[in-house]
Amino acid sequence: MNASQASRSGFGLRVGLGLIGLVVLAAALSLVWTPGDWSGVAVDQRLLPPGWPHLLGTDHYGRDTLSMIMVGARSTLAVAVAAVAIGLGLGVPLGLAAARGGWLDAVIMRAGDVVFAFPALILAILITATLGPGIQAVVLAIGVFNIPVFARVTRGAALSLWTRDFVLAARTAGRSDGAISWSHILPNIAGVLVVQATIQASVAVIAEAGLSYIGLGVQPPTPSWGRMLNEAQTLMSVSPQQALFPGLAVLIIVVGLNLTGDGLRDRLDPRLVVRT
Amino acid sequence: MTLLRIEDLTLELGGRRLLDGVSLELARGEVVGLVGESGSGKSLTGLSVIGLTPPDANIGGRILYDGEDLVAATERRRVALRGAQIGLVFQEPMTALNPLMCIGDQIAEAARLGLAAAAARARALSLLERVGLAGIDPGRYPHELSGGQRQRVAIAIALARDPAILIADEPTTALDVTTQAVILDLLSSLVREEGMGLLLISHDLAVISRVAGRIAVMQDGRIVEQGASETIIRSPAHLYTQRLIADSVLPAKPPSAPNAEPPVLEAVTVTRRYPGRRNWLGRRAAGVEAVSDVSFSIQPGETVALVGESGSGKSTLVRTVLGLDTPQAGAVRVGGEAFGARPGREANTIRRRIQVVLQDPYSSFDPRWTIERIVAEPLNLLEQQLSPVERRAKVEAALVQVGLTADAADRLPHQFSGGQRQRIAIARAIIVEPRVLVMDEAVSALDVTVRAGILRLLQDLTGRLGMGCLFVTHDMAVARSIADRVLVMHRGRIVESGATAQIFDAPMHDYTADLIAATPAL
Repeated sequence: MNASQASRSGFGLRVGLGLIGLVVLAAALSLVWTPGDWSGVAVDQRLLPPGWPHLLGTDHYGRDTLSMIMVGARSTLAVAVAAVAIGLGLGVPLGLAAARGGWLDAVIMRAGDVVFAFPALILAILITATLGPGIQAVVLAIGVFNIPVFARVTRGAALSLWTRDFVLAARTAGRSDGAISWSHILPNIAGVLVVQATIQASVAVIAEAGLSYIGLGVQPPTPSWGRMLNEAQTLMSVSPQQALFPGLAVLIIVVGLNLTGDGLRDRLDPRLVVRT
Repeated sequence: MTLLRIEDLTLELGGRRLLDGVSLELARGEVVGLVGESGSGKSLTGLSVIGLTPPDANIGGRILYDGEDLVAATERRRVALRGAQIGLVFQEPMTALNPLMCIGDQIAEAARLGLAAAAARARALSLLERVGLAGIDPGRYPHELSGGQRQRVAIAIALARDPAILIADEPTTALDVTTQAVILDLLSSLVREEGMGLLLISHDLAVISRVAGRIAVMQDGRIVEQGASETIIRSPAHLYTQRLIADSVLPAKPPSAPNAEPPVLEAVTVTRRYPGRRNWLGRRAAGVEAVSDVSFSIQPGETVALVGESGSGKSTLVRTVLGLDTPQAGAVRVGGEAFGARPGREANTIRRRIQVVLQDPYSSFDPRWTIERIVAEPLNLLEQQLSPVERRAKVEAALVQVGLTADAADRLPHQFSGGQRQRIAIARAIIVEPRVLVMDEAVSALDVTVRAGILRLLQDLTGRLGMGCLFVTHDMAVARSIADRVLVMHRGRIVESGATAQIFDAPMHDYTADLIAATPAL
């Protein structure tokens, strides 16, 4: 990597972190203050265009769009973080175990294949049908699909590390497989996992918006970006900004996560896995 | 007649001067050897001639080929010269060849420029014959060939357009010694018969002196001395050359008195087979017997060399001896006790008695760990766990024993040179006071001056600590200098064993004699 590439990825990383920070800030602020009312019906304030005091206008119930986006960011972030945590928490240990080969490897990887083979949406509908719609069901549905993703990434990176001499040295030092996985393998693949986590978080954001859009996500009256998009659909000709702003919000967080992931990959990946 | 004249060549990269006033001449039909240790600038000199230096390198001086200055030449002109006038042979023939292309096509591709397809194919066949691969089907792929055959193919590619100059950068370093001898003979006969000029780059003075008429010795980007091979070897003028020669010639170890103590390491009829793959009917293909019926023992304080070429089963035997692999038959006893059938916690009392130093000083350490943590890792084998203060004391003592300072403990592996890292690896191995130290090609990746230091350290440590040492190497000269006894391994079996002097002076087995004859010596 030459100097100009390095500064470019550094720039992308800063922009990405900035965009994520913006969304996190908005969500945190919404816990104590919102610019307008996001839950009450105000018939006289319906479908106002962007202006003052409703910076981004209002929806067909007269709720303040900016406030709804801020509150919606909470569930978006919560789902992304929880779904990635499920994937990391279960997928990484499974991947580390699979990297040691044997029947356990076969069982874990084939189980992952089964999850991959399932149409994601069908499974999500199945889960919400059993648990009832809501944020827990969404987290579970997205999280389940993250497990085999992290298991595969972990296994692949770990496999190449297990052939390295320092692992052989640790084995002659009498360390158990578990101890080697924990103290040698995991720290050396942490960079890869961080990058994968940002990618999975952006996938989770889109999936959450998608599930909310079809009504399986966060339930009314709690606002969510996906449902805002859904409701805006019928009002497209009357009030197009209704679809524009939640769409932009999804765009901001996804671009932020992807830039962060790319930036971190350029910064961490080649040194960790390729170079000794 | 001078083919190539390098005048006062300098190369700067990132503000560092890597070549400093290099001047060298190469004539038709001549082999010039460029010798130096890693980082001396010998490969950069070769790459400068062919115009393949890093893009942001700043080059000065002149490289005159046939009256034309290559430093000033346009990239277009250099491309025209590359291959046609100047051919290049790399160190690692496996990576220099395209794995998905058959060898005939690869040679024809190189010959193709200026030739019709059919003529190029015919040329490929004649080149295969020229490099001694007459019987080989040109439709074969690189992985179907041995290392030596692959290097012959790489040479055929370099010769494809009849270059006037051949640059060979460590062409035999990745090969076994018997193969190395054959490739060196091939290169020198090509030079003689085709009247080419050969610039042979190597870290190994013995290899260079075998074929080169003139030798240039490089250190820190400068040529410190050059002249006729005979003169350089017999009466080196420069201090560095003198040291290089002194460290390249390893003295034979004086014979030791046999001791009657019980052996610290015993292998009894060890056999390790790898099963073949199952086919789709579930039947197994014939397996490979990597180690067959191997028996040997090592006394305390004794160093036993295990020599053999790649594929001889050395690595499998090492894994078995270390208890990382379980033999199908026979047993390995360390200090009188055998590794159990299942490696686990109970194996640790035995494992503590045998520790290993591996070949590659760069990949032997977790890059994120401090030296203290690295060296202390085997302490985990001790029965009672130590307090942090005790651990630290042990680590510092071990580092001092291998000739490093105690403050090395706080640093990270990348802050050390290759030789220092091998010392750290030895410190890690001896910290649990093992009865046996296994050196698995542990000096093969080191420069000769560094190697000499590590060998002295090892001799000192085995004597002082009374450890037995299994010294695995492909290098007969190293074996002769370090070992009390030698085991020669060939195709999974120990074909000959005996006291070092006896093996070298009167080898009984043909293979041993071949190995000794093929080992280049000054």
